[in-house]
Amino acid sequence: MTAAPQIVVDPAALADEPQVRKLGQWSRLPVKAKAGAILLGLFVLAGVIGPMVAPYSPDYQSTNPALALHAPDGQFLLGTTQSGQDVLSQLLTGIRMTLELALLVGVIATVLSVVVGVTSAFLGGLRDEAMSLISNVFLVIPQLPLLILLLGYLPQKGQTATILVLSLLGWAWGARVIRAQTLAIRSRDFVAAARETGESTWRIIAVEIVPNQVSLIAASFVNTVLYAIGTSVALAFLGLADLSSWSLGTMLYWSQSAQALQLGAWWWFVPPGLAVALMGTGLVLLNTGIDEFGNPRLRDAARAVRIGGRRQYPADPTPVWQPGAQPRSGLGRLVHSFSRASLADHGTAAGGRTS
Amino acid sequence: MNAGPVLDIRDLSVAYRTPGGDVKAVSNVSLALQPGEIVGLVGESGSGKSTLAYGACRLLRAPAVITGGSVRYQGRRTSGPADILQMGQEDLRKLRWREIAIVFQSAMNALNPVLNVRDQILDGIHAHLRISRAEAEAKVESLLDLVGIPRSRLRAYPHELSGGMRQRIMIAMALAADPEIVIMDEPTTALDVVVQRDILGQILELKEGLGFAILFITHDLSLLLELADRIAVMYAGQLMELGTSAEIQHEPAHPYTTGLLNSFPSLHGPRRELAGIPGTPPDLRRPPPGCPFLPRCTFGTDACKEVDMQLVHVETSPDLAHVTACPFVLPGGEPAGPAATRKQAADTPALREGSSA
Amino acid sequence: MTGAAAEPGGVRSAASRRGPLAMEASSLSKEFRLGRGQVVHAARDVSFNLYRGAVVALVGESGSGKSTVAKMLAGQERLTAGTIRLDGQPVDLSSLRAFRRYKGSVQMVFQDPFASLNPVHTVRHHLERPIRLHQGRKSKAELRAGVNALLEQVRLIPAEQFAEKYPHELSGGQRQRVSFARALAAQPSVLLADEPVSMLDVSIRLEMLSLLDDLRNRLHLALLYITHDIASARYFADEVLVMYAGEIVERGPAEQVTQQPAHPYTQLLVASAPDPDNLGSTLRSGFQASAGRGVAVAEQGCPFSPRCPFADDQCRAEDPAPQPVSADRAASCWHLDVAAAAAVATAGESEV
Repeated sequence: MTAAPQIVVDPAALADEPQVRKLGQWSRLPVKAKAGAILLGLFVLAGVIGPMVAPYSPDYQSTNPALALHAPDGQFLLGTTQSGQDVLSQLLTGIRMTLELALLVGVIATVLSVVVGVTSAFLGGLRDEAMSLISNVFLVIPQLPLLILLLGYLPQKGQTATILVLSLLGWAWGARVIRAQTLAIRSRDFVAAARETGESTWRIIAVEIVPNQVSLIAASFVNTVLYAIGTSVALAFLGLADLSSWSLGTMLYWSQSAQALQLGAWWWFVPPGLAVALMGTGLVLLNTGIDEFGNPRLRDAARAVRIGGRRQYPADPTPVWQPGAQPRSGLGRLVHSFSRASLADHGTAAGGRTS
Repeated sequence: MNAGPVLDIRDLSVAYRTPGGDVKAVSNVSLALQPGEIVGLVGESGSGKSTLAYGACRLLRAPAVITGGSVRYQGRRTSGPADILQMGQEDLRKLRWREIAIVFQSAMNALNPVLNVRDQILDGIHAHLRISRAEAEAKVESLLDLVGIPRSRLRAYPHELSGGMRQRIMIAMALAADPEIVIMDEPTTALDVVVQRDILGQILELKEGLGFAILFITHDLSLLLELADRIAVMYAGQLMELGTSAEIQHEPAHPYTTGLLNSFPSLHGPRRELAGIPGTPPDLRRPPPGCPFLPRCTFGTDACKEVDMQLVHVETSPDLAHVTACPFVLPGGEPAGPAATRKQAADTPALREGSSA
Repeated sequence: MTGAAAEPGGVRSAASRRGPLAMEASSLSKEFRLGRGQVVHAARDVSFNLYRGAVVALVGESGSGKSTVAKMLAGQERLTAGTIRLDGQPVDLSSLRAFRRYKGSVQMVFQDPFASLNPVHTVRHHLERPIRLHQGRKSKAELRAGVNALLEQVRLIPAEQFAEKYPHELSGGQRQRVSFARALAAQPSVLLADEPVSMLDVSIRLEMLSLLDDLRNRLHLALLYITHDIASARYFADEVLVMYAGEIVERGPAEQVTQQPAHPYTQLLVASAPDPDNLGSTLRSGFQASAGRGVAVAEQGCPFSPRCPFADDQCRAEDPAPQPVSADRAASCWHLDVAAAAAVATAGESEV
């Protein structure tokens, strides 16, 4: 304990408003979450209408040597591959494919983690121990070697196989986090009160507990989607995917195998690489945004409030606002309360100021 | 030595900036704390009692803003009176804990769970006082003796201690720098009656010995009647009444005080008629004109909408320091006045100040 | 109904005058195993009766086991030993159906109104569920009317408006009223109120208690009022049971127990209550300084003996059984005569 702790008396932070309704209000979302959502929205849009607006078929190969490894120009906005395929058309198709896979994995794995996490926390005892053991096993096994092994030996290497395998390996982390939060919620009085009215265990889980975990479940979903994008691209890059289909990963695989880097054909591997990076950024932004949202302490800890044009940090003393004391500053004057930076400049000069 | 108050709060106003407009949590409150005095600050939750105390020490974080007033501090060790509202961060750091210490309601949250009692207090001492390690350790032991914690518990962790013990440690930490003022924010609310009693007795004892002044914040008026020298009654961010404990108990001059006095059951003496205060406090974003207590007041009349909420002397009281925000005459000491008298008072809104001289 | 009710503590309950017997708790015990062979006795041999239309107050400090007793009666906590009878029948909680049926008669109100309502649901949701579960099939209009009637019963008016609100839009007192309404939706005969007002402001506590009192009267409820505030028990209860370390140490009519406490622990509780008419007397005298310190509980003998000013070897060796003080009062103490004499002496002192 150093100084006396700051008192948080923020009437808005004290009210525990339901997360569901808050998540639905765009204007109240943190900036990071908004930026992430917009970025991802663009990709989803590209994924939905992309294949329709793609100028060529991604598979169409031209035998014309002049059209192989053609640099970007007005006709081929992102150039062509070694076999004369249009990179832009491949990209638009690939985004859809990768997004589709990632979202499906996200949905399946999140449902699994909610079911496992919530029930294991709620049932407790041996069943909890067993379920926790299983999720811990899934957490510690090395993922990539297992994936390579599994996908290498599966009879077919299509999209469905990848989705199923990734979902099977992707739920454990979410299950652990959700289990922990369920344990905390389970001991709240409103759960006991629901039991008091005679509700069944399953109804208490579905109606009373899960709606309180919306932000955590959303975060878990976003995280799983991120994991699915990364892993599926990596697997395709290693050739462990249906190489006749177009995803961001298979694009990278073909550009690598054709030595696009050595040939200087940057337009072949930069667009898919950049697309993966931007999707990842969008997801991370969305995730931290949701995190701050579900955890007001996190949000308030970093938030500076603007009072009368000056930024107030949480560690600053209470600002003093005296309207009319110094009309020159327009909005009135803050007698004290420098931001941290100006404090460092002024040292302990504060005593000399009077209004 | 200076005979003036150690803490002189004048016309202090504090607001919370919210998107829906300013919440005027404290409006124009003046309150002085004399050396060695216990002032009780009583009110319902949301009455602004904590905001007043923490605002006066500049402990509230934005969006809380002090919108007016002054807070003068004058200690034995400081040279002249200083306005806390004009102080810089460094001066405030020196002021807090060394001059003004705080005992929080929840000792469990205020104590560090991974430090034992000894390290906990040592930490605080080293952060604020420049004394040697040996001196600091001796100080810890004397502090624990002071609050009656056996030295065998020196190495105990917060979770190993009872609620009463934890609260005692908070008090010990607050007293480490021999402060002039100790602000106590509901220090015993979470404790059992027997322990509460014991700690209050100890606080009194320590105060007699060390001579600090106490600003005691609580929603329990019955406790203050016994403990405090003077009591300030707060409602909707404003002072309703201020007077000695005996005056407040026997000659309450504000209907809100009367309401509070009638809302706790007493164990001793004959059974009384209990009334409580129906209704809820007003929305401080849009405070009603005049007296904020009007909607819940059993005596309210239209004249109350024009009351300017200035504290005026209670004419029936010989004590000039007994003031109230209700300008109408309540029959002396009687909780419920006959309607006729009230009407009359409303028709001739004679301020007590004018008529008492 | 099975014949005459047993008389817990060997005395006739002061609450029995109000109405017929509703619930009997006989010799309830609860042990928590902490591992390493350590056992905590949260409740030991607790017996009392609840009567329709009467209020029985269970008074004690935190850790005395009073909430454990409430949870056992509510069926939220398993008994280690003892039986609970409702209207003369032993309580059966073996299946969800049986538990639901029991909940239709026995309801509990929780202490913290900020924790006991689900933040994601409206008031309407909180009230509709118990109506559906306990009042049979209802049409939409009937449900709506039922919710409104409940809200009006706890004086949340206009009901239609309150029904649509979320918990965070309500004050503490309003939330607690919703909790009351939710308990009443099951149309119970027994209401267990676990510190229903201790989280609320002093100024609204009285209003809430008078609401509870009114509901008890109108609905003829058997009410168990659990509290640490013995003064409120004096005004509100017919019979007071004082609990210490899991045992009931004194029982009797509220006015008598609070005005002439027989057990040394009750005396300590009463002496600790603020007394505005006798300013600072107990605060400054240090009367209970020895008794207040340390919350030690004896391993054997009378649980209060480590803090008791009258304790002797007998107290430390043997746990006293309830001794009748009068026809409707009993206290578990070996030295009731000594304690009574001491109480008279201090009372005389403070009057001087």
